[in-house]
Amino acid sequence: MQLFHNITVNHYLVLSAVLFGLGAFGVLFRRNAIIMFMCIELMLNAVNLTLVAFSKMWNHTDGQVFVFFIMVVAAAEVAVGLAILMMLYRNLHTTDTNVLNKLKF
Amino acid sequence: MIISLLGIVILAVDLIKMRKLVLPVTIAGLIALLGSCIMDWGHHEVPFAQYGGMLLFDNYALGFTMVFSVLAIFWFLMTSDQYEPTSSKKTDLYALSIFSICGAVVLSSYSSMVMLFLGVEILSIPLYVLAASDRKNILSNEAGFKYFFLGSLASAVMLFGIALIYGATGTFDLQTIATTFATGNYSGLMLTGCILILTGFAFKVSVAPFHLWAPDVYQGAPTTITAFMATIVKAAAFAGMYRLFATSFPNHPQVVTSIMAVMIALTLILSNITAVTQTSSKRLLAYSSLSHAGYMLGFVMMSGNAPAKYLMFYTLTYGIASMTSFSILQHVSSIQGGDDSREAFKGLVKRNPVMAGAMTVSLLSMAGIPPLSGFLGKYYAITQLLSGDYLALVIIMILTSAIAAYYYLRLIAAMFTPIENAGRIMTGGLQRGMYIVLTLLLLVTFFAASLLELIEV
Repeated sequence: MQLFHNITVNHYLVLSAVLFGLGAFGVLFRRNAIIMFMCIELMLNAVNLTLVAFSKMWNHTDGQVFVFFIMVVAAAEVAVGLAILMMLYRNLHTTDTNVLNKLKF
Repeated sequence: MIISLLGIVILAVDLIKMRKLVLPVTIAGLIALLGSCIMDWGHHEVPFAQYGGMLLFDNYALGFTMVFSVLAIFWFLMTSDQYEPTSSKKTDLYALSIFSICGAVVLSSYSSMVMLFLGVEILSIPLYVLAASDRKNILSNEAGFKYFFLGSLASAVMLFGIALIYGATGTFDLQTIATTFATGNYSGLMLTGCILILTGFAFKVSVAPFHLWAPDVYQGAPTTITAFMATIVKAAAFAGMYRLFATSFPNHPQVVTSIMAVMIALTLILSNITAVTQTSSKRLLAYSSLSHAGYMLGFVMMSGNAPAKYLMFYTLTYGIASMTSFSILQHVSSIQGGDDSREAFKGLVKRNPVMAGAMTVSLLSMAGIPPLSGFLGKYYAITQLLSGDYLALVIIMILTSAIAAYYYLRLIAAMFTPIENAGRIMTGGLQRGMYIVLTLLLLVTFFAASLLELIEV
């Protein structure tokens, strides 16, 4: 148990920054729509982790309440996003985003 | 509050199968919103706070809400002939746009970071659906998809910024954040948060180098939705951005100011030069919308010591001009079977003089030619930047607006080129009336602009 007493808010910050970076990298460079989805969720959860860590640090619950807001909004966002993805799949029969290159001048 | 009720009422009207009532109910609701804003105007000694102080309807919020409702009334009237009066799609689109406007109102009145985030999301989520609303059209699908992913990415970046600022200050309240950092000593955590929020907003308002999604989305989305995105949504995003930077970071840290300056310069140069090479007029208008974002960012950059009314004026007049031109583009290209190159506009002056006149005036206004109000908007932006000694930015603004004038005038010239055997283009009476009213408004606002000096925002 001694090990866990040394974990400070900085550790959480580093962890969430790494998770956030991985998520952002995934959204920008992966070409599979489902994986991009998971990366967006990863980014949002990295933010949640930061907020909870800071909330503990400041000793009040504001940040934790905000996390609930983020969860609700993320759920709404995923609902819309999956609907768009379904529509795309019906028209194109793939989730590979490389085919989305019609809009160029 | 009125506005969120309105969206629900629209859905209810759909349920009881009275779809013909949708447009009148929407317009009535928006006029009621406008009226309530005027009634509350000037009570800013005791700005009334809502929801436990999370929203604050001061004059700034009321002013922007008025801008949104005016633009929305015009938008609903202008697009009313695009849908079958009884289709269920119409009610859905109306309800979604109303919800999106609801987000815009939240974005102009928030006083807590929580509401900032909620406002951005309420604004964006219906828009993802709207952009993809032409289900069978692969271009619209692509637009919705790109908008969704880059929009969510932007929200996540902004959220991370909010989380870091919460870490640095221990509060979400804008005023408290401002007092914590009144000295201008920004810690590293705070500064990173500030830059991340700026980046998130830059995605949302589409300024370079985060603008790459915008032309694609604007081109792919149905034209009426593009008009909505380029006017109301852009105004809302800037309202939110301005409120944050004016309230919480009144003396911007140096690095944030320099980032904004670089963004403005990049936006103006890239968007105007790329616009010249476009063949599709819709894409051209999209790039022109980007370049206007550059000017609006100028107001945000000077937000520490300049009043917000000039930004309101800019968003209103640009909104009117841009909405008119997108609407006419929609008409012309749908008659030409989807062709929206310059060829499609040839001889428009013979085919429909009202349309050609309105298009000319709104393009000239966007190019910033007096006596149209677009000129005044740009003039305010330039004087504000001059007062802050940003001479280089001003020079870039003037040079790029010369380029902009070139591609606007090229389109106007096409409209006045005569062609053989041109059939007339018919428009509905409502639309013709709207074109005339909006064109006159662009003139009237130019001469009425001195009234701005009387307003305190």
